[in-house]
Amino acid sequence: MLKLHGFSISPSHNKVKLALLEKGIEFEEVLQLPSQEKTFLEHSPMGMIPVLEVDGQFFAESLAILDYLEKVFPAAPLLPVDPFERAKCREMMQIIELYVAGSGAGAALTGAALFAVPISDEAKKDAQALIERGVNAVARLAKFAPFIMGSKFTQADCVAFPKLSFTAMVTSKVLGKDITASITGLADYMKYMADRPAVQKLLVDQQNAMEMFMASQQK
Amino acid sequence: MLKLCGFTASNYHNKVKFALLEKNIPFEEIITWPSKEADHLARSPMGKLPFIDIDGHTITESQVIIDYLEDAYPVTPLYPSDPVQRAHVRELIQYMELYLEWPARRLYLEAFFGGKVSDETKAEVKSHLKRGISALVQRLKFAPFILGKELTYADCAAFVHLPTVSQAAKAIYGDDPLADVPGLKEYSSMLRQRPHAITVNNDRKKGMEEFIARRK
Repeated sequence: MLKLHGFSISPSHNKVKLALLEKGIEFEEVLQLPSQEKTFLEHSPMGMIPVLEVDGQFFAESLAILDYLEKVFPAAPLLPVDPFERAKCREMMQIIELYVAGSGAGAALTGAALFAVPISDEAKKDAQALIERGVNAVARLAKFAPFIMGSKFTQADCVAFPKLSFTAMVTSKVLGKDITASITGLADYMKYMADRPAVQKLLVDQQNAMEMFMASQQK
Repeated sequence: MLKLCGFTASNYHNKVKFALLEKNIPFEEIITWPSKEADHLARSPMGKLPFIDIDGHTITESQVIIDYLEDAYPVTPLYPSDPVQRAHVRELIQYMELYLEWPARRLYLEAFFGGKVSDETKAEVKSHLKRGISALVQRLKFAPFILGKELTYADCAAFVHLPTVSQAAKAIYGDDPLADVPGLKEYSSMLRQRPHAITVNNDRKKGMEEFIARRK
């Protein structure tokens, strides 16, 4: 059986978990925090989660994992058949990944929001500018009809729901303003998504993991 | 015909161009410069380059373009057919782009464009590069290509990103942390000798002069 190593607070973990649940793929979830331990680096060379384990082979990077799932489990497809439409889904995913929840700006805000890492006003300003550009690009491409790229649930929804929720939380906390709120139609979309059974499971697990995390931070 | 819009000093442009050439896909290269104009944003929502234009419809983001090329032109595949090996190709591209080129970009101002970068940034980037390189080393095979017997998109990415990271590190730190990676020198030289690699590099040199002139 597939094993997904990670933890339920991570939006990247939840992105893959949502795809697994929506596709109805059986999997086992193994609790793993990001780590620079030597044994973990053998499985995930950057020490990051999530990691997928398939018959003793491991690979990281959530978008690589989503792509793998689509190849190996073509039933309940999460990408359109038409190559151009597929590309538009992936473009949305990449814009959210790189710019809205970006590795650079996003990481600085995440540190400040979750671990009280100090952040300079300059870093806040840079992060805000980049995220605003990303958010504007999302607004330009999103369809919300009712799903983010049209009438079908796709991988882009697996990315959008956890990542945009996280960006909303992080920017509210650190910048005092939810930057995603400027996307017309997003609030209704998030509510619509939250009614899906798979998303509800995601949210319950996330809530439990968050409580555990907060308890551990207070010790 | 498919149009590749961008400028030849860009690694992301050259990665896509190298893939198009290796896959023998006919295309027209339209030199386009970054812009925040509304008509450019309508074609590339982040204003980024490169993008491809198919009958007036555009696709941005180099990784997305590559995936499109593979879906739309399955002949001469540049992904392995085995799904786990394919995932390893995508994983390695992410490592080179997000954990090597991305942090190294913070050095370019001083390394290539005559500006100044703080000592703090240099130290931060150095530790990022160290982590990124150790991740890379764990996955690469050089047999003779970066992940095995066949040329893949990971080679297209390595071909553009690794030499730039090396050059930037050398300019800033005086030594290149990639120089210690066993087999990398021979691999890079093998890749550079491919006819399409020579084409891309010749165009890049010309494009770089123009790019630097435009920055002034």
